[in-house]
Amino acid sequence: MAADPHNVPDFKTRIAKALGDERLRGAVRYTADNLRTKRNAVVADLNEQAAQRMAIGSFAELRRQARRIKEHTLKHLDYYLEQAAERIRQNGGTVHWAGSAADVVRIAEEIAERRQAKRVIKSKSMASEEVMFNHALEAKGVEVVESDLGEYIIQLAHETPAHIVIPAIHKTRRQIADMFGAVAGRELTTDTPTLTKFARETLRKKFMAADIGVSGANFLVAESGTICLVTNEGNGRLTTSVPPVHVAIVGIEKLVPTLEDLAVVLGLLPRSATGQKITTYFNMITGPRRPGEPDGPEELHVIFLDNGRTNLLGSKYEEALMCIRCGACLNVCPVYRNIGGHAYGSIYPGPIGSVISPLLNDLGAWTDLPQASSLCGACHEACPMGIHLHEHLVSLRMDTVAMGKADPGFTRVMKLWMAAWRRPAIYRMAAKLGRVAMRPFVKKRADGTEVAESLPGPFAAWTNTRNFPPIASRTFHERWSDLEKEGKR
Amino acid sequence: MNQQAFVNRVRARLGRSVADGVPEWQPSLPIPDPGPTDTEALVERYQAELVKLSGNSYRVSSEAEIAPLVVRILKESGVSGHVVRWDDPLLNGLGLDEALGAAGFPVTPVKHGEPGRPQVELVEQAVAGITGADFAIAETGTLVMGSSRPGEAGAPGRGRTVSLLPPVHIAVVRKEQFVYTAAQVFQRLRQMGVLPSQVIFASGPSRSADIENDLSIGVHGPAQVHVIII
Ligand code: SF4
Repeated sequence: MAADPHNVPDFKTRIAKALGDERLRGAVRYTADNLRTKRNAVVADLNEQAAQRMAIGSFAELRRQARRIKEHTLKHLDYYLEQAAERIRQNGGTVHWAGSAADVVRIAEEIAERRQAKRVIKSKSMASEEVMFNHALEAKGVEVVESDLGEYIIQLAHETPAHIVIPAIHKTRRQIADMFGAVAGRELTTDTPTLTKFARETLRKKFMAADIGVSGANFLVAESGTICLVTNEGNGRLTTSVPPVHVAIVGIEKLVPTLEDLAVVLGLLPRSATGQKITTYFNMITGPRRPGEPDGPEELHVIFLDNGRTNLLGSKYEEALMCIRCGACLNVCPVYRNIGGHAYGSIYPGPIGSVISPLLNDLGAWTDLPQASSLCGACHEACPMGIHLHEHLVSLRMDTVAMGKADPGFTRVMKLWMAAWRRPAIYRMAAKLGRVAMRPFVKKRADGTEVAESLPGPFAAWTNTRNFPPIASRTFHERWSDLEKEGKR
Repeated sequence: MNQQAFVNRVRARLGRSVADGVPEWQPSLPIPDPGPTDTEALVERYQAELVKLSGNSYRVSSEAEIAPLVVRILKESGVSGHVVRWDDPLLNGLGLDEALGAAGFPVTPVKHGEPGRPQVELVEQAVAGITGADFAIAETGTLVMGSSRPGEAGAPGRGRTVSLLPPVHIAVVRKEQFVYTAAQVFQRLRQMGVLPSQVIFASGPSRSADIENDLSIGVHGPAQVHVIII
């Protein structure tokens, strides 16, 4: 993973940092709202079109089909991997198998060495970030340049993405102009056309000089060995068309059985990610340049990546492998919307990140992430694959406790709660006591609501990063019996 | 790790064995064939969608109108320099080279059988690229372009970069190439057998929202897309 949990400040420190950054939070909320609004509109439009038989299916139908495709593929993944590998080879490509992140790096280094490659250009790829590709290749003296505009900005800033679809949302145009200006060696104005033009010209030169283009894959069609990429900028096309070598890093969960299955997944991905019916470019690559073709890479390499994915197969978490990385669950998540992507400390943030970061790595090192959810289920509702994210989070919390890795303070509070809850008399008394004990910590806010912003003792573990609502002046039980006395029940 | 070790691990996890054979799979169909089939309606919908994506479209009733129209588009684009085009039956015979050459836009067709960097560099320096298309999708305003003709093993002079590197992309598409959904294209590609080494679905000019969510056009691909419909 891009961030080793042992090298970054702990989760609470990261959250505190994010919560203190008003600009970051504003940008995250604005972007998330924007994407969510567009997604909702395009989904409503799809449903309307489907009702008039003007689309291949409503959102719910596409979701049902997509689940069917992924379920089937995962259940028979061994077969589809072999089929895809055979087709890729028939198409003139080379297939590599990477059990771990280190394998990907080693394979890429071998290719680079054989080609005497000095320059690599990349299009956006989560898989490559997962294996810390740039870092590893740069250590070998190979220049690696990100070509997605957002990723390029992030790379110049030496930061990590704040959002998986729009990585540089937290950077202002002033900051971008300064960074681009430093590269250009002259001052740049902050208007979008100037910045875009600079990026186009600079990166175009990088493309023309690159020895290797590295991409991920959004889907890989097993029956034809076709790599599919969705992009809006066209950098995915450049990466796979201009350099003499194309290397695609493909998570094994990206497979779909047939070309016809693409209609369903392509119908869901752009709609859920950016609220587009289709991205500007959808790129289907079936092999390197063929004899006589005027352009295209001489070599095509597909690296199939496991890196912990196989452990999910056949487990209660298998469903997490259906994720198509659209980011819709981030945009609706109340926790993500407040803390942004950096605080998660993993390249996969938001609800899906909280599920797969511990699963693809070591749960023991990532026990905090499954706690970062209100379990409201908004993520599940938004998810085009209908992944039961909130249920997996609960399940991971239980695993955490079973491993004896739960936060001791939090466990103590929960044990108290459990004990009280089992004995109604004690529970009632605790509620009364709590009400009185909490009073000194409760503040009235401008809007008239009351919150406790910091509680003492074991409760501080909660209020360090969140508020706590004061215990109601009358409990539900008390109100209920009042109502009964008044004969209103 | 080799293929066998890798796949075996997956197989063991799934509790499957080689003897289980080929899984039975019905593609995600039958997807109902939705939308209009009437060509006129398809073209109109395509044009409406393309406008929303900041692309331009033109209707012509004969092939003879195409070359003068391309000259006009280039002049209005304000570009000057040389132009590249597919060397493909879809474009040959339209008199493009003569008409454009006379108007000060020398044309080079990308050549069949001459692979290599020189061609890519030539395309990169062109002010415009002219292509045909294999399909046009009405629902989304999309052109589908193979780097060779789908279903044919041969490699005509098409390539991947003509519709990508120059700042202006002009495409010529015929009425009978219109379908309503991407699903129909996938179905046909599957039936046609041999897939080109690359198939591009392109919907309008290149775009990005990476700078403060502000839409910008032409960050990597063409900033202008002009589609001529015969
Ligand atoms: S979990 Fe679902 S909503 Fe979240 S990124 Fe994956 S597919 Fe999208």
